[in-house]
Amino acid sequence: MYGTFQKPNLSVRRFNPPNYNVTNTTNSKGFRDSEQGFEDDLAGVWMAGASNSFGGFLEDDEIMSARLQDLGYKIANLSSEGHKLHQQMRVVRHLAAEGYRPRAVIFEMTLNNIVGDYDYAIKELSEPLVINRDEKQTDIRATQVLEQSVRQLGGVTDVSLFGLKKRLINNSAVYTWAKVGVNGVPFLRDLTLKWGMRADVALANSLSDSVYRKETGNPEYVYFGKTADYMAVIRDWVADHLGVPFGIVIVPSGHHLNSDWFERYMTHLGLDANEHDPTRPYDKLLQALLARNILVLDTAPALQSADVFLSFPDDGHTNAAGHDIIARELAAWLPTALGLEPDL
Amino acid sequence: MIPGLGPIAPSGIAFLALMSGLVLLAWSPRRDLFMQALALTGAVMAISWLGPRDLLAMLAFQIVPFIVVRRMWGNKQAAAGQTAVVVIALQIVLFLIFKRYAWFDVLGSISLPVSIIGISYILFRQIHLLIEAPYLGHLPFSAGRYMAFTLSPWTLIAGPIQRYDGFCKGLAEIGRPANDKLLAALHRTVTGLIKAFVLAPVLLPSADIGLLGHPSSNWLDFIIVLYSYPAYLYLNFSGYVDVVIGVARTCGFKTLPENFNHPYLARNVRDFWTCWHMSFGIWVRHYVFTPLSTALIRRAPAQLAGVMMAVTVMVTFYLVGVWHGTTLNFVAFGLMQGAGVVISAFFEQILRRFLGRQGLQALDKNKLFHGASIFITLNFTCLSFLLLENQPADLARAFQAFFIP
Repeated sequence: MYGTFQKPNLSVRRFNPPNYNVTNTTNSKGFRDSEQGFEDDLAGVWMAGASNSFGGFLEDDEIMSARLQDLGYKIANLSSEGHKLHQQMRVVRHLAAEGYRPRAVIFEMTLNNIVGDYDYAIKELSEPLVINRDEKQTDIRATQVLEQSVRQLGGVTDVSLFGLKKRLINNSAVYTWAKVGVNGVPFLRDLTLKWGMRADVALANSLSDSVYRKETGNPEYVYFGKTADYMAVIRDWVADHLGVPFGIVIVPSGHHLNSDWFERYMTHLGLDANEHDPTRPYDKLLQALLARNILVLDTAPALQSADVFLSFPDDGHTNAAGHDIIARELAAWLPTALGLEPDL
Repeated sequence: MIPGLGPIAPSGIAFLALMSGLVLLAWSPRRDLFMQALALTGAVMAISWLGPRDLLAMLAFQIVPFIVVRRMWGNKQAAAGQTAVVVIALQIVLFLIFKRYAWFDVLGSISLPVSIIGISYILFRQIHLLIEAPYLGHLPFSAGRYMAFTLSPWTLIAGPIQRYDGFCKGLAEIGRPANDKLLAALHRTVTGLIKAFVLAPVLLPSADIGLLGHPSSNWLDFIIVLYSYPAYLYLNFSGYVDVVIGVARTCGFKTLPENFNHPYLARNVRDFWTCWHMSFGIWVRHYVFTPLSTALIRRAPAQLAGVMMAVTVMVTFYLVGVWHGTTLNFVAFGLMQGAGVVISAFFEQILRRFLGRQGLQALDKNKLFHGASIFITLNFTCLSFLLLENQPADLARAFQAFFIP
């Protein structure tokens, strides 16, 4: 719904040892939430977010929203993988237009590529919400969909020896293990990294390296302000249209939490780690949000003081232990900051 | 759930392995163990789908009917007794709870996916046994047979619904079929696999009514969306039935009932329900429609017999709709089909009044009338099938976007 769309009633296994081997499910509305009681949850806290709060690499009961529910809060997880802030806001607006009313709205913001210029999104908020249930699907006509499916069938019916061999190999458990499962064996995992067959997570960063520079007056900083401006507009929209509190839970990136990742990233780029600060983007966004009197849960202290690894070995998303910490922080923060007591 | 093994379905290698084991046993000198193996295989399949709570629920769902059926077996004095009625009512309530129907959703956040592992088909077999037990005394009955009958691996997930006498006859004939029969059974299995798992998936993506929202959509797109889902449904469902009938026949089990007979060539909605999901249609007619219509017509004045029949049809199809799913769209589907049956019967009555019996027979033989009847029934069916996948409001929105851009 509105942008990246989670298929309703999805049940997908995600296999990538040693990172994760989980099943993701969505309910009949396409949300990463339970089917039963979801309507009730929509009367609780709404959590909007992207991949981190969607919990794509976690089991359903390990996501921060599910953990918070275990701690006594009705919560509807509205997150969607790949959603930008304006798409998250469209989901909130859509549910509000459908007549649902939450106790509070929370946006989960992970410091990856969410920082940007949101002038267009602020403008969009003043315009009527266009009901377009599935942008992806309406980009294509039924005739084209059928044509694509038939073409794929052509692949299946390729009876040439090479075609058959290719299909058998691609669909075999052995091939899948060789391609993905090999990383579950430590020795082979090191080898694939050494031979450049697998990306090093430390070298992949969705944030521009310049935002880490310690210098003042960095032109990139303006986007932290613009992002915070948009969040302030959303806060006001929530107050005006839903009459409930609004807050943000801000989560540091993998490079923030793992200093060795950051050092390797700097080395890879040929930059001096002493002139760059891995906490800088997080701090800048936090300051910008607080400067606009937005209620923010700063999760960095709790996550940094945890004595466990909070990312995945090959992926910067927060792992189950991290989600658990965030959920506990949220449970402690909701009554004090937003005045919400547990309702379960 | 079985660690390291996902839910066993006909498209998977685990199903192939289990069925191969059954075939080997059926062809071996120890085929006397086939019934036990069938029960065990069904239980393995069920366990592969179910968690510990689901297993407990399944156990609760199975035990009481078995005890009651055991007591009533061959005892004609127990026919239509209160015990059977009470147990049937209890099983229906349990079914409604497990399937989480709105008024019976008392499980809260307890997850019970037991509802997806063919629990309705198990219920159909249980009701059949509870009603027929007094008259089936000439057939053997045991816990093993009950397990094999209710959890039979080839009908566990989606039927077809078999009668107990047919099941026993099938078991008695287990063995290696003659070569021509064996080839036919294997051919049927492969055809089913191709229909269900190669051809059907091709049609599913284009069955999405959301596609009608594209601004350039034209009538060709509409036709593709309208026909894709019925074509998918037929290929998927009838393909699955081909697979299970083919596998059963490979074991020499020849009595599994057919479920489809060119349903999209039906000439009216009544005709359609005798060709589509036939074992379900027969069960509904036998255990819902006939008793209900008999009861209503017997109690109502003679001049209201037609009205009572129409009421019975609507009630029956309401139940058919509710059985298909727990949401409003399935109710709408059932009522639409019921209305189709009533209207087609009414139309036939009018024709008979004006043309007479012979005139109507002549009209039926008219190729143009025949073709038009098939065309109208097919399109009515396709439209109603849209309700199986979409809520009425979503359908209305999609049609509005297409017809009133």
